[in-house]
Amino acid sequence: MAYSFAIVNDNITAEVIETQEFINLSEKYKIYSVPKTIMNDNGEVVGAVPESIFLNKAMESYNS
Amino acid sequence: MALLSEEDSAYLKKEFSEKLKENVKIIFFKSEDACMYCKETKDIITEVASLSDKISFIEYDFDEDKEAVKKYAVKRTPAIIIAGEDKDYGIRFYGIPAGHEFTSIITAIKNVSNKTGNLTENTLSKLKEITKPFNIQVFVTPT
Repeated sequence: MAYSFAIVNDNITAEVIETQEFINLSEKYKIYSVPKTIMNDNGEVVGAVPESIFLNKAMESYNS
Repeated sequence: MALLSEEDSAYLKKEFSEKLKENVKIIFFKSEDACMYCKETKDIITEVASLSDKISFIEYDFDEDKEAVKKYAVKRTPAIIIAGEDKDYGIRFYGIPAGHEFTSIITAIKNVSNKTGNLTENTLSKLKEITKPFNIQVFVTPT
């Protein structure tokens, strides 16, 4: 879903990171379960969620 | 060495020939040191790229090709970028795309090629409010 957001909006970048290969990042963002999404360093979503919830979290993070 | 089974290759070939519209570039960054799965990652994606004339494959060295690293703002290796012929959509995959993540890469190739996100109208209209850089990082495991 993150990739879809990036395709339709040029301001959005979407990075998928394989947790086990980048332990430092996983520790930085406290990744204890996957998938976990970090939005602009100020929002997070744990688990695979429906599009509407992913969108709400993104807008919340963007506007905060 | 073929990593994909004959069956999977045949399936993807058909899928790409039916679903791909515009050309897609797969840009890959490797490094010689401290890259756990660079070789395997390259093997997988070159195989995927070989399944369609609409997919091109470009490889850079993270330590040597500084300009490309800067241009694509690549942070670590292995890095895979799924881009349009003339457009970088900001899609990055860091690590080896195994298991479920392999499917995400295939979906990204199809979506970029069709310039669509397969999102609802509501999502599309809300996302228009994002007018400043916004970064999404999704942490996954290769299961």
